[in-house]
Amino acid sequence: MKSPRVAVIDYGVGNIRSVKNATNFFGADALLTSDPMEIKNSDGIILPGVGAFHFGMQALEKSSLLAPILSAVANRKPIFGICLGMQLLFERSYEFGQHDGMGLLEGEVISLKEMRSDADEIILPNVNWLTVKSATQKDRPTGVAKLLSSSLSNKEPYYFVHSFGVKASNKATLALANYNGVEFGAVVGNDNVFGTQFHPEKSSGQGLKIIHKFLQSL
Amino acid sequence: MRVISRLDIKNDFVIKGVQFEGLKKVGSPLAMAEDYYNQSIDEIVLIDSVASLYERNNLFHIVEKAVERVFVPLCVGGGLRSVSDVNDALNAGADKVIINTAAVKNIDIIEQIASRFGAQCIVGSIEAKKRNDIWEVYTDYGREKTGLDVLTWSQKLTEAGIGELLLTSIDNEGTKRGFDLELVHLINSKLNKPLIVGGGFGTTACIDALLSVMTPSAVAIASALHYGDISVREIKNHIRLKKGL
Repeated sequence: MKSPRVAVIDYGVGNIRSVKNATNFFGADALLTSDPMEIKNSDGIILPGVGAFHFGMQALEKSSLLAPILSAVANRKPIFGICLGMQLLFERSYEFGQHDGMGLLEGEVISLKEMRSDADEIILPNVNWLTVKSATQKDRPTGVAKLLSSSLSNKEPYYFVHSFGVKASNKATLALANYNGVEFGAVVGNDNVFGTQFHPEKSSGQGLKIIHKFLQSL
Repeated sequence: MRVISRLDIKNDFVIKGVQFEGLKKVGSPLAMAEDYYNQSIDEIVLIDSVASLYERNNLFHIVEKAVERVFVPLCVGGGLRSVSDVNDALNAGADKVIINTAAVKNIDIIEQIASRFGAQCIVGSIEAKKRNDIWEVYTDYGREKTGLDVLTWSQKLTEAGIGELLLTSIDNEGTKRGFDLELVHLINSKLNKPLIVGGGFGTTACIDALLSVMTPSAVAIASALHYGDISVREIKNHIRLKKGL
């Protein structure tokens, strides 16, 4: 099998070397890139990232990467968002004010504190290994989202580190996680758009399995 | 509760002492990191134990190699003094950095790192030693006194914007006689950040004693794992049974 060309978007937000290492582990031809042509010529996109939402969106716009990514996704190229990269796929976030996201999935990003009434009790960031539970969806997922959901473990935990989380539409919510009684979208997606709040590249074998499945789908 | 293995490194060897003294070589950092990863460790901490002395971190080449094969979070500390040092550590593949000495010299560094890379990548570190009825903050791998009180200092670090706090008891470190529960209780009572408790783990009984006081976000373990007294699996199974986690 020819190894797929994966564009790991390099927009100056966080530890992207780990994502490349994880794809390299499976012999994929992963490219850390901020070149719109590379995005266009790739078989699939990984959008990593940590940090604040508006910094992430600004960084994508400043490096002229937003339009090429949106156009690739519109042309049905698979995209896999991780942590902040996953949150950016949504309509908007309320981190440091209200900011628009890419709008590829229905839902918004809010503080985990605001998801619960007795909010003072919750310690943030949520730095934990948590299991995820498949969501009950009205419409079954299709495409890459369906394929990657099938690689999720319902027993083994994944590594999370975040203070904001997504409240996604039923259609976009593939699996949920629960931190101290606060439930949020852990795995999201629809068709060729997929994302995880946790870091699959830091979640041992069970995390690598999802990345492997993504590479196989390309 | 996460189980973290702590590897203290000097000249490319993992070393271990008692109360940060009498350091002995115990193995190769890469081989040990990979071994703990294969045993399902939740996270790995790498500390350059002599870096503050030489004013630089010498672990980046180890980090670069480790992250090719170890797919759990990696936390790197020792001698990181500027935003540029932190940038280098993250570029080498670290997920988080540990800051102690540099913050004592200039607390502003915490805010500078947080605004550039996010609070989630800063672990503030406190090395505490008991003196009469109070605990004093030490720097430079337990070598230098600061005159700072641990509780006041932990609050300063939190306000400055750390994402997690690594609390190590110098008195119990390497002794395997258990965590300093009074110290843990004191810090935890005022802390609203994830706490990593280190210094003194010997047997699963130390976990039971700790859980009777509080459940921290993580425990950091060195000697007991390095000397093969117990496996990662045994520790994690014990916690799972105890907490139903």
